[in-house]
Amino acid sequence: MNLKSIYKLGSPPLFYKLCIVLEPWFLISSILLIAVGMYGGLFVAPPDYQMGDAFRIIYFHVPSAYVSMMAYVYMAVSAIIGLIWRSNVAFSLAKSCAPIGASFTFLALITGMLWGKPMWGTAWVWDARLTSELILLFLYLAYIMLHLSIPDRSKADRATALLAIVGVVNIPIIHYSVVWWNTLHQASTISKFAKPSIATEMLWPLVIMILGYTLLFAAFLSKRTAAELAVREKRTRWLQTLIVGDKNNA
Amino acid sequence: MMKVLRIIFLKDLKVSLRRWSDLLTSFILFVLVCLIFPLTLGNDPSLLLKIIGPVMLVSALLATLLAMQNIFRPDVLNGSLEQLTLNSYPLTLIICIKIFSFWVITSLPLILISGFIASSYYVTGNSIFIVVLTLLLSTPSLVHISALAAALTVAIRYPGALMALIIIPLSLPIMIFGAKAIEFSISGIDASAPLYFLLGMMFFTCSLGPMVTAAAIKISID
Amino acid sequence: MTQHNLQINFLELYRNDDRIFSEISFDLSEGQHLLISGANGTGKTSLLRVICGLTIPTGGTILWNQLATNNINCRYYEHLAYLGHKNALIPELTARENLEYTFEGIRSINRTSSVLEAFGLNKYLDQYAEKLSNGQIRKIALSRILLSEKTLWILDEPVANLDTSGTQFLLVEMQAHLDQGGMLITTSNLNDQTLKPNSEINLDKA
Repeated sequence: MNLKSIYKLGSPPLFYKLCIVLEPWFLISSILLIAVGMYGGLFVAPPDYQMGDAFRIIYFHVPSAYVSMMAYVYMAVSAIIGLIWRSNVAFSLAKSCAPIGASFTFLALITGMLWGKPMWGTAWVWDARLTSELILLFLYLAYIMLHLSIPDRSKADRATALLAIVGVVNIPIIHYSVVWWNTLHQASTISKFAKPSIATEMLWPLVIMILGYTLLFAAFLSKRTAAELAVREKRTRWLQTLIVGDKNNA
Repeated sequence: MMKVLRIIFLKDLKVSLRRWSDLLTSFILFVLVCLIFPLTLGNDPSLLLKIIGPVMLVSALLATLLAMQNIFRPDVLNGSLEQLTLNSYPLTLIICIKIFSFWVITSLPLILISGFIASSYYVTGNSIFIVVLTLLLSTPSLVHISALAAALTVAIRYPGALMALIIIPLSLPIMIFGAKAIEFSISGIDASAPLYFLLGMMFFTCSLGPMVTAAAIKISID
Repeated sequence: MTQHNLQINFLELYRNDDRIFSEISFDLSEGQHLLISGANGTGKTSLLRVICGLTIPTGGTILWNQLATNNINCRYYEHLAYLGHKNALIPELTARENLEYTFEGIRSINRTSSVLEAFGLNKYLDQYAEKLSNGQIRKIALSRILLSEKTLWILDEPVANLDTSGTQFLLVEMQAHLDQGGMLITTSNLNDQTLKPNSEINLDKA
């Protein structure tokens, strides 16, 4: 993978075609993985000795939370690339990440609340991890609102890129909040170096669900980015021939 | 270079003093919000001592939020902000001085009055000093974050809600640790850990803040 | 003293897919005056803002003394004075204070009263800028440019809001500036017969 091929990715027609081609693969593989993970998590994994069957929300909660943080980092990296290289592709990626990331954050908060009720007795508690996940939702909303408020597209891209970069400070805070403060939220179950503190039969559906959710995010992102690129490039020749070409075939 | 910065500082100070609504808005809002709580909660010393930390910081945040809407907007409307970018001096330093002069006008009165408000909340002795110190260490960070939000939204017509949405997530660590510092000192525990964190946040925002704010201004006046 | 030179190559600006202008090129040396003309809304102000560096163009380069203006070694802004539609006057300061505070240091006003005398501003020096009329504000903003000792003046519709004597004086001063080796870029949608520009860019046809 040499430098030239990375530069080529910044060309809108190529990236558009890449998104259109990859999106069905992402979608199908994610649905398959989620189906397998759900079967494994809801039926195969044994009930937890402490929480009983209520723990199974982990198979929806942890992947959503993981994707929500990953989406923000992805958005911030695209924003940096867009600012440095003034790339329409990078800015389209960043703009498309925001609503998807916000939705996954919202899902993570809702599933967390659904889990909190049976486990802690209360749906919401003001500890560090939940609060910083809520802050993440507000950061996504601020990004989206700022984009909507500035009518000039290039100005909006650059201003929101700055906002995304400044907000990325929140991600390590969320991730390490359970380490730094003794909070109600449990510590991470999967670590890079230590043996996971969760049984293997419960672990593999979780890993598969995380992969499935990531591919689902990729599917949504490719579709949205393709649409955003098409809107931005609507006056260029390559898009016109694409549309007209389709008319000829249809 | 120092001569230029001194001129900008004096000019901004003069302008802000004549535009006295900034000064008064933040000060009055701070005092009023701090006074509403004892008036509505009643005269229970233990309760007031528990809430003074968060109340001080939230009032400071609201006062800063309101006052900082005017740091760049009037200059954009009369065209003088563009002139700040059209000279050979780095915009980062100019913004740094501007924010500093705004902090002197909007936050210094708050810090001076906070001691009196704290004593009205039944805080005694060393804790009053800690309250003042907490505000002294947290307001620069709040001002820099608000300046960034103001710079990002300066071209928008009604930026109030958007500024709040940008400022509050970014300033939450300052709020949390500031409240903890005051709470620790009132309970008699050594408050130096949160205070060091506030100091660190202050250095972080005061060093990187002007740079990001200058970039945001250049984008907004495009 | 080295000769100053401004070179613009193939400047173009697109906003949200709308073409504002494209293929703008010119060369400006000392003592030359460039006029940018065109009807309202053809992009004259946008072109001036791009030349100043306030707006980043979609394509093209601007070179001052053969260095790109966004190069850190380029000393473009030491020689540039810009006056836009908004006069950059702070309403809360008096006219005198607006003229005094410059980036080069606090300017003493007494020495420069010839310009203020010609514009008739000496009576209004201690009034707050918000109380002055549009024409007076424009005159103060112009005085700031005239007193600034910068080489390149970029003026957006300089004679707007000025009375006859003010306009006459300004045209004389602009000619004097060119004679001393200054450079001038102005826009106008009037047909200015008195000042013959060296070159003209008409945005109506572009």
